Amino acid sequence: MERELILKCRSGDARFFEPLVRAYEPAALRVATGILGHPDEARDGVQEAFVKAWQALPRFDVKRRFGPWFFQILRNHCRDMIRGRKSRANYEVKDERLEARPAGDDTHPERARERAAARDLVRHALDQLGGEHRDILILKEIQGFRYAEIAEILQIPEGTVASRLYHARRALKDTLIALGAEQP
Amino acid sequence: MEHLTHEDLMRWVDGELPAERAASLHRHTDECTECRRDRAVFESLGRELRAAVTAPEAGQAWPSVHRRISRPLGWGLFLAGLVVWVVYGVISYAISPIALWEKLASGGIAIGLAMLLGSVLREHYAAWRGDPYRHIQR
Repeated sequence: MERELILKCRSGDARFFEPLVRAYEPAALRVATGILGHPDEARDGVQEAFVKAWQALPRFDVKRRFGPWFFQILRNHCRDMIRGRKSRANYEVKDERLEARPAGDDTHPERARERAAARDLVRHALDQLGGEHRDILILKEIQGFRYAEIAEILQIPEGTVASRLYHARRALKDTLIALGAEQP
Repeated sequence: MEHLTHEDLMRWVDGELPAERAASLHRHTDECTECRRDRAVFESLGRELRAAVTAPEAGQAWPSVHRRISRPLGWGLFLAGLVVWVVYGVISYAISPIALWEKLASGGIAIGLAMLLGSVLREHYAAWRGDPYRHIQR
């Protein structure tokens, strides 16, 4: 089914790209939000990744699955955005991120504040990790990809996925402790 | 007691241990408090991560993506047709029996207008390229 859609897209008919965009958008938004940390930037990144995927479709090997290939494009694009963001020294994200977050279902203000603070701490720790560690944690924990899928997206063996995940989780735990979080 | 390797530990936490390997490690994973504690810590980290990342609602990407991927085709067809008509018009005008001064005057007006339009379009394009939020729907 997906292969047929891709073949029709390659003939230039954009209508057949819509089911692919709709199918992959929710997961793409989760991954992009995880990597970029900001919902608006994530939307922008996901749209751009779909456009890039469309432009690269003529070079896509139809024997491969679309998903891992698309998430490779998305990850690379998000990393480019982060590099661009670092070169724009005036970028301020923290306050916007707080505003963008839904209030949640906590009715007790104190508890809601504590939860928001905990979320910010985790987000801050995630941002402090290196790109390799952050990305693999997002792919596993936020999107819930299987090891085989992560291996395909990151172009590494499955064994490396496991060991990188171990080091990423340890790094996150150590960073959280260094930032003053309680021992998980 | 020999603990799980990093790879086995991760596969155990993530439910990715092959059945045979899981069976062979069964005794250890059932009894080793250290490995069970590590698993609990990693699972807790996962829950905290999921709580910290709130993705925006899906369903808005397609209109923007569609606009952007179908626009180049529209522009391509428009420009190709325009070029054909302009070339045809210029040749027809050049070989028509109109006086030379009329051709030069009309040509000057047409070229001047094209240059003005080109500079306005160039300015708009430069402003659009420099806008970091150009892809965000307003």
